[in-house]
Amino acid sequence: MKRLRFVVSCGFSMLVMAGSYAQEKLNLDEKPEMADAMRANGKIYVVVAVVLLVLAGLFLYLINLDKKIRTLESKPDAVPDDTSNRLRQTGMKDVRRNISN
Amino acid sequence: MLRLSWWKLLCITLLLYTCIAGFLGGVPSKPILNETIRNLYFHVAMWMTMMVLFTVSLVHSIRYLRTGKVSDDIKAVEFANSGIVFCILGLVTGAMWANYAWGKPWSNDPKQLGAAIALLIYFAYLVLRNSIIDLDKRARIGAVYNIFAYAMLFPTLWIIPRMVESLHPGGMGNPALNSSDLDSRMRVIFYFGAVPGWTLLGIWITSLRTRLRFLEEKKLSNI
Repeated sequence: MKRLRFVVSCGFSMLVMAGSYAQEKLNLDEKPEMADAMRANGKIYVVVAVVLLVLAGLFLYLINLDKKIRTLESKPDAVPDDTSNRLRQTGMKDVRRNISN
Repeated sequence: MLRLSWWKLLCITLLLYTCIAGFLGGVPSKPILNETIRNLYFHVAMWMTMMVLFTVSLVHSIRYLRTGKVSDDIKAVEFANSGIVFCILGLVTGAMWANYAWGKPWSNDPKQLGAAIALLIYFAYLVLRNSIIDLDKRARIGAVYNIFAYAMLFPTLWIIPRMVESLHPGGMGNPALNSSDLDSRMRVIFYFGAVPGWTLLGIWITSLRTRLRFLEEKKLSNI
């Protein structure tokens, strides 16, 4: 019980000291720093451009995939290549086992 | 040439809007957060998307248990797969942000832990499915487990993190997305741009995977 009280009071005083340390660093009177400099020199547009480039790449990939699947759906005889190869290689009757979740 | 459904075009438009307005739009100046408050449109939106995808997965699981149609089982697992992807993205984007906002990427914060547990529960769903060889049993047992996994999302993500002390906003019973806590400019971009945009993206990716699975099933049944 004595040791517990000692540990708790140590911890509490550390917490208080940590709190006061935080007060030194965080001056709530100052305005929070924002990216106004980036906006002033136009670099924010570079950030936007990079993000849009990544997005554009993602959309082009999805649209491409969509088109490929649409082509496969319209052709009744088309078989996805890896599926037919896998079936030939393993020769398993229960071929659905090859399709993973 | 570009015969895309209306909702795919909407997805592209909304995400372009989110990314442009997300960086150029006005945000409140908060200490510690600074500009990273814009993470709302990316990190938080991932979780909203995940919830929608897991809900749709649940609906299809329940439908499978009622009808026994393979198409429902395929949709259930593919929506769960996409939900898992967005859950991982949410955890990773959160850790990247926390590294700068909280000092380290993992603080054993209740919400971080809850999200990790929810993710493990859904990983167990995939492991369970793959461990069952019989396809009907796989679908049926998987569907039942999916219902439990969805139910577990609520204590792990929504209830316990709000009850206990947390680094995330919303701890100790003060939900942070209510009308007085969210800036009105951010609310527009978040609810009309980010959430529908990322959700439609998740649905688009899932629909592609589902169509591919249907094609595989069709070819197998023809052989």
